[in-house]
Amino acid sequence: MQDKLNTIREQFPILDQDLVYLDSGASSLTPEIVLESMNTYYREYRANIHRGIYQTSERATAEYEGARAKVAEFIGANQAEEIIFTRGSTDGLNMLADMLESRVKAGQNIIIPVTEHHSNMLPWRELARKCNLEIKYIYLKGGILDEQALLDEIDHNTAIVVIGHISNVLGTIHNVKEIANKSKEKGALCIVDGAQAVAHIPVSVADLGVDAYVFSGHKLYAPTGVGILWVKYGLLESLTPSRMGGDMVDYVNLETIEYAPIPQRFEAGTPPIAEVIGLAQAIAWIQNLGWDYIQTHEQNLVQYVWDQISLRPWLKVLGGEQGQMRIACFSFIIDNIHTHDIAYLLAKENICVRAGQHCASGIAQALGIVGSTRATFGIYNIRKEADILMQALDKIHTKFQ
Amino acid sequence: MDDIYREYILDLYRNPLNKRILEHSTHKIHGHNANCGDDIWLYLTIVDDKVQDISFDGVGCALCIAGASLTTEKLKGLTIDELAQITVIELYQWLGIEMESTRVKCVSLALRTTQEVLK
Repeated sequence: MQDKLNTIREQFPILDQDLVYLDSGASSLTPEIVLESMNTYYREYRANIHRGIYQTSERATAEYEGARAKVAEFIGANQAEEIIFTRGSTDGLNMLADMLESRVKAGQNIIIPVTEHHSNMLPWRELARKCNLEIKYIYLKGGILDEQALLDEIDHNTAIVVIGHISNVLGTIHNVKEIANKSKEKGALCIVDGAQAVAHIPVSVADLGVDAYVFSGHKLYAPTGVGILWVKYGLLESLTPSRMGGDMVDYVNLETIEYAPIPQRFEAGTPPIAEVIGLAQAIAWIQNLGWDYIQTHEQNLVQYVWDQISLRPWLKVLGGEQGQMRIACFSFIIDNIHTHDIAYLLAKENICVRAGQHCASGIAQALGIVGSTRATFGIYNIRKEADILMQALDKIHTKFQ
Repeated sequence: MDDIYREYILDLYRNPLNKRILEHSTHKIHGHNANCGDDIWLYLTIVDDKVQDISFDGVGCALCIAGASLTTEKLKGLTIDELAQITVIELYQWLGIEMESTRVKCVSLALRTTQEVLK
């Protein structure tokens, strides 16, 4: 286990500068093997895809389409054509909201938990405004999302239910399967933001029974600027592209447009080719580590951090009690110390955390807090880093006493 | 730990000056830092172009609250022309800390907001 951990950390030379990086929930670090795969593309077969009839372009196309198959396998999609490459989760959710405009009807409702990241809230609020949908917010119970209230609110008039697979503030894992089931029963679409999930738990969209799922590469040890929109094939077939341009048409003249087949019709313009290749490599790297290892390592960290927190009664963690299923994501408050002061003082000790509302202002509003400080752990983090964080917090707490 | 959190700053944070709602103020000004959540209201009573009384209320980090404390303390009694001349550098001098780019927005929130509105 220790050997494996050392091998993993060697993939991240950025850690050599005594950086205690506890902000993987915002963006994860990228392993050498992923950087190498992108360099190889730039050095050996840099070309556009789907266009050139020369060898390098063919290789680029093969790698790009291979990445699509890799992603499909990774999230348990039934077919590779259901995978649309995007710029990230935000991009995918906005695209989907645009494409669903013609499908929803005025007077229907849309269910949005207040725990959602702005990227899975604002596009839907905008859709609701444009199409006259009623928004039903779901609030917290016991500090976490009230999932029973969510299930109870889904009715025959519900067009869409949106849900984050894992809360980016609370770290809690939502019962997406049950929510998808109820949505299906009532004829609603269940749309899932998996940005916080895919790096930490195995995901099968087929098993979850959802209609759409998005994630970002940059939270999955892959490069920035690439993400995935997965849409169930039957639904995808009924949607019209929201973006027009090159590479998404089969035939076009000044009077008519014939779209390219799925999924190409949803990918207008030249995509981030190197980043897609990097994403596939990151997935291969994760698969090679194996979920058993990843989950054991991260759940050990969760346990360890909880133990450390319980020694410090002044450290108040959001998202329920110890024992609540969560990933290694801890948002906390310390009475009478502003989150910005905490994060700043931690930064002075080379500890990287996130401060504020974490783009999920609904949680802060529901809890009546200004914000929180968030420490998120990734596959490369170790106990010693949790210790460094705790010791720094001890000093800050003492200083403000 | 860091120098800018010296005891004077922490003391102003724990026991802020002029932190209250001013009844019958002539001006009520809102200041907000979107990226960190500092959120304060300034209350001013201005008579004949002169700040007769000034206070603030709200939530913010230690530097924001310390900055608002000294801003309100120093602006009291100044004319609108005089208060427009106060610089962020002076504010830092009053606080006795080094200026640092990442926290200027916190420290200067009260001063900047007041100057903007009374311009």
